[in-house]
Amino acid sequence: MTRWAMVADLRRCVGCQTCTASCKLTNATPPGVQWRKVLDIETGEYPDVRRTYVPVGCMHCDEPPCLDVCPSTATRKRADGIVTIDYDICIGCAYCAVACPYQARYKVTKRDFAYDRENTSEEAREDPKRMGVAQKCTFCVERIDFGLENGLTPGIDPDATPACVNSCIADALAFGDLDDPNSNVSRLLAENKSFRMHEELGTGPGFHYIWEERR
Amino acid sequence: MIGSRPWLQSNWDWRAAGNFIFGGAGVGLFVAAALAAGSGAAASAPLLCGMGLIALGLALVWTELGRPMRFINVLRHPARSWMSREAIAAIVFFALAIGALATGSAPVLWAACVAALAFLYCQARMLQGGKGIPAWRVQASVPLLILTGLTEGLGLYFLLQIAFFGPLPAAAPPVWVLALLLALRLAIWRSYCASLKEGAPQGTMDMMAGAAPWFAALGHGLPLLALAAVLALPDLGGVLVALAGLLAFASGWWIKFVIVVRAAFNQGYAIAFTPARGPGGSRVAEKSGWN
Repeated sequence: MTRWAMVADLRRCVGCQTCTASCKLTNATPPGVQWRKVLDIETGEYPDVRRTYVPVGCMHCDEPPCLDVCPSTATRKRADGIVTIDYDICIGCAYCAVACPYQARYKVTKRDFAYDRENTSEEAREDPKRMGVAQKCTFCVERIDFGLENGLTPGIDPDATPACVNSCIADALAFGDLDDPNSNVSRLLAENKSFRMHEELGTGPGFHYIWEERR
Repeated sequence: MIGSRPWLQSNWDWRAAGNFIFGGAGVGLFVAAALAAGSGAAASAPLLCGMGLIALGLALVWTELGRPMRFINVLRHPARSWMSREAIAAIVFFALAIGALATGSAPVLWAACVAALAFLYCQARMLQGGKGIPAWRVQASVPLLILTGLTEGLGLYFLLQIAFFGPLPAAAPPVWVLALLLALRLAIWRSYCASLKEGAPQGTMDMMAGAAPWFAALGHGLPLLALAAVLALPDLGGVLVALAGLLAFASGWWIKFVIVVRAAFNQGYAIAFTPARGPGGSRVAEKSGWN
C-alpha cells in the first residue's frame, strides 16, 4: 500500500512563504485563499521568546472529519490517503469547513484576482468549477498521478512532487510514502522526533512536524 | 502565542443558525399541537405554523449553499452524514404531515411526529458533527439542542394558542410540562457549560460567560416564576402562561444564535513542541487562546 504524507522540519523552516506563493501560482487560488500557508507563531514571554514557522494546510487525515459530514459525497479519500473534493457534485454547504479542525477548507463565492484584473497565471490556471464549492490543498494530486503514470517517484522527482515541496528553499518540506520504510519521509520520521497537530482529536493527520533529532 | 489563536468561524452565519432556531421550534410546536389534539382531529393552524417554521429554517440554509441548484445532492450520503439524514427526515416529515392534514388520520399524525423528532435529533447530531468548532462538538450539545427545541415549541404553542387560537384545548399538554422542560433545559445547559470548561477557546468561554446569566434568568427563572404565579393568580393564568411561553422560546432562539454564530470559535492552530533552534533547546509549547 501507499500512504502519501508530508513532513515539515520546524528547525529548518524560515517562514519565507515561498511554498505559499508557489501553491498560489500553481493552483491559481484567489486572494484570501491559501491552500498552503506558513504560520508565524510566537511563544513565551520577554526575554524568553521563540518564533516558530509552521506550514499548515489540509492534513489529509486518516479519519477525515470532513469526509463523514459531507452530505453529497463530494469529499472522498483515496486508497493512498489523499483527501479529494469532487467540484462537480459539491453543493457548497461548508459543513466540511466547520468540521475541519485545521481550518484548511475555503469556499469562494465570487471571482477575485490578486490585482485589478486576471493575470496570465490566473487566466491559464483558474478553475471555474471551484466557484461556490469547498476547496483545499490536494497534495498536488495531478502531479502525483502524472508522475506515477510516467514512472516517476513522488517526493523525489520534481514533476511528481507537490509544488510547495519543490519550492522550499530550506528543504524543510518533504513528501513521500509513509508505508515505504525506505522513503525519504519514513527515514526523516525514524531519525527525528515529530508530532502531528491536534493529535488529541483522533483525526490521524498525514502531516508531520519534526522538532528535534532522535538521540 | 501569536498567529495561532482560534477565531470566529464565518462559514455558517445567521442563516445556518436559522435552520437550528426555526427547525427546532417548529418540531416542538408541531408535536405540542399534535398532543393537544388528543384522540380528536388536530387543529390545523398550529400544525401549519410548526411546518412553516421548519420549512423556513430549511429555506434559510438553502440560501447559504454555494451551489443551491445542486441541493438534491444533499441526499447522497445518508450512510455517514447527519446533514443527509436531516434532509431525508425532513422529506418524510413533510410527506406525513401533509398526509395527516389532508386525511385527518391520527396514526399518520403520530408518524409525522416521529419523523419530526427524528429531524430534530439529526439537527442536533449535525451540529455536534462540526468537529472543528469546540462549542458544537461536545456531547452535551445534542441533548441541549433537542431539549431547547421541544421547550421552544411548547412555549410557542402556548403563546400562539392563547393569543390567536382561543383557549387551550382540554388535551393540550399541561402547563407543568413546560415547567419540567424548562428545568431540564437549565440542567442540560449547565452540563453543556461545564463540558466547555474542559476544553474550549477563550473566546467561546467569554461569550458563554456573558450569555449564561441572562439565559438562566430570563430564559428559565422568569418563566418558571410566571408559571408558579399561575397558582396564586388564576385569573391571570392565560397571560402568565403566554408570557412564560414567550420567554421560553425567545431565550432558546437567542441561545442557539449565540452557540451557532457568536461563540463558534474554531480550533485554531497549535504545536506540541517548539524546535531546537538558536539559543536554548526545544521545549513544550503552550496552546494559545484556550482556557
